[in-house]
Amino acid sequence: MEKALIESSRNIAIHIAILWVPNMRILKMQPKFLDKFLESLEKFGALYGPVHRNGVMKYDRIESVSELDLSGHQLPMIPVKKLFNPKQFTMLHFNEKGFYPDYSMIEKRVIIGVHPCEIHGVLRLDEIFLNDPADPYYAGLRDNSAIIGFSCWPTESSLCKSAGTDIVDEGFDLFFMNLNEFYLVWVGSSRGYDMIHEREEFFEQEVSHEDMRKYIEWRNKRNEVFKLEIDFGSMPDIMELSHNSEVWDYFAEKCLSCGQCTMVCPTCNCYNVSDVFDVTNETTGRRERTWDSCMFVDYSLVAGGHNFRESRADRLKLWYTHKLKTFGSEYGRPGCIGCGRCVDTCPVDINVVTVSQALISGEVPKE
Amino acid sequence: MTTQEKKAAPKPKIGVYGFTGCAGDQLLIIHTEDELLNLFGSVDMQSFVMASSNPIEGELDVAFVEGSVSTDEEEEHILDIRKRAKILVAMGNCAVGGGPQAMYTGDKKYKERLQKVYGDNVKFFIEPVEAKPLDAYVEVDYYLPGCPIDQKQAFALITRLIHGAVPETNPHPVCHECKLNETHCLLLDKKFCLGPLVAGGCDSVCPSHGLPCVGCWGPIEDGNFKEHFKLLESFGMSKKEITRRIKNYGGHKILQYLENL
Repeated sequence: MEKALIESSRNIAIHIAILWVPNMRILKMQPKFLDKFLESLEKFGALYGPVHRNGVMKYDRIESVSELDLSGHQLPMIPVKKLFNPKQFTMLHFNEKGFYPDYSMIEKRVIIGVHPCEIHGVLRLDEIFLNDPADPYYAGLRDNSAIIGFSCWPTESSLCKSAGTDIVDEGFDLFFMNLNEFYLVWVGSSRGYDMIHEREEFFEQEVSHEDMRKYIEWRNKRNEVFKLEIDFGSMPDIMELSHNSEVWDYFAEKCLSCGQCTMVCPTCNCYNVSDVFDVTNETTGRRERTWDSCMFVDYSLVAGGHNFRESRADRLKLWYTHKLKTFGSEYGRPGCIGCGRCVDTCPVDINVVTVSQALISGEVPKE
Repeated sequence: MTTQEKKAAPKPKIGVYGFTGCAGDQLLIIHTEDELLNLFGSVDMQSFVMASSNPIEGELDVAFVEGSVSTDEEEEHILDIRKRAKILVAMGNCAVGGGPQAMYTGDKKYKERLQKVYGDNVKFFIEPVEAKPLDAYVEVDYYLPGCPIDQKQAFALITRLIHGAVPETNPHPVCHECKLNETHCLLLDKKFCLGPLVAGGCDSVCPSHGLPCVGCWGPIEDGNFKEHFKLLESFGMSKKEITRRIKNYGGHKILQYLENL
């Protein structure tokens, strides 16, 4: 009896050890082990990460870790959202009897080299896609993807310090802090522990006070680099007060309605669905889902022909109000994660910096 | 037959016609080898000038017409097709906007140009007229733009019509597809591109190869012409040069957007 009790309590202890995710741990790794370790992650899924293809940096499936650009000096053109809310895919197949969801794009993946702001972007998308009723495609892709975060260095357009997204303490399995001499590695999930466990010999358990000092130095140095800032805290009020501002007309006249700002924004997630029939007389076909944009004229067009936001000023106002005010009131944090992509992308310089500055000062940018 | 079983929709009677143009749109349909047998199996193809020399010319459910109306014979032909067809689809840039042969539309110098090319006292077999799109003569129900049309877009429209459903139009600029294809924006390098003014549907094929959009899908209603001209001028291009390039494929459809610039 006693023996059985001991046995069962031991079993419980083992189960707890497996299931229990302890507090975040920080390990240390020498750079020479990085490639070997990342290669070993193939066991957890197909490897994805930022690579250069035809002169454009993009998240893509990789054949070898040597393809990866983990320098942290550049962001891929299209955010990591595309791996969870794909740009274009077949949702379901239909015939006269019903429909059949297509989850064929869901696979086990390990996404390497995701910057902190990008991880914040995914966490905001979680609020939208995983709240009941969850989007099964997003949820499937999310559940099956491990995120290996990497530290980065601000670009000319980075606003992550203003947005509070320059550091991240959740949403990753592992996070690699590159301090040149060595990496500090944050473990953020039980899957992350499993990954470490695979190649324990690469990691040092002890992080010295001196190591931490180097990390703090790195952060202080990095904090000096930022060139742009936005007072995100005051933006909800500013937006509220700017509803009838002439600033919108100025930007509306300039806006090309190309939609690029929405495609490159990590928190934009709108899509359209379209039924495509097979080339047959039978009623069979598929439903396709494609990213859409509130900058396009038909976005707010409804049955009967009414368009809620036909004017460019209304479309811009919707986008910026959503990013800087309403997203925050609904989910607690603004819809801008400060990646700076809109700053780099808009051909006519309409972006979160120029718009917020114009609204605050009441003056439009000088030509 | 039980109520559970449903008869397949009757096969629609289709006609495919070619007016003045390169015949690239008919060719694209024939070149869609993967779907060609399915297409011929699911429609009653009455007339297809590039594919068959035995046409039946009667009532049609849908007529697809490519090319511009460029002779008085074609003018009569489009009026006849319109009478016989329940639905008329203008297929390709020439049928939609007049095509490159309509790039000088609006200059009121057609006679001069004709004479310059063919000389004086030429006797034509068929009397030529200034190239115009189909809707200059008849009502068009659906437009399938492109030079040539795109397989995906064309078959999405064709299959909607086979099933008696309403086809979708694409009012989005080429830039939408550029970003879906993760293509670098040429405008950021201060290079000429008409993308923001032009309807997508081509899968951004030119910008994806580092070439500018030249506008072969025709203008979108929502294009911000004034600001885009201003932007291109800031790259060092003259208004005249931008206008010349946008007219290449713009034909009749571009004129309204170039007023008051």
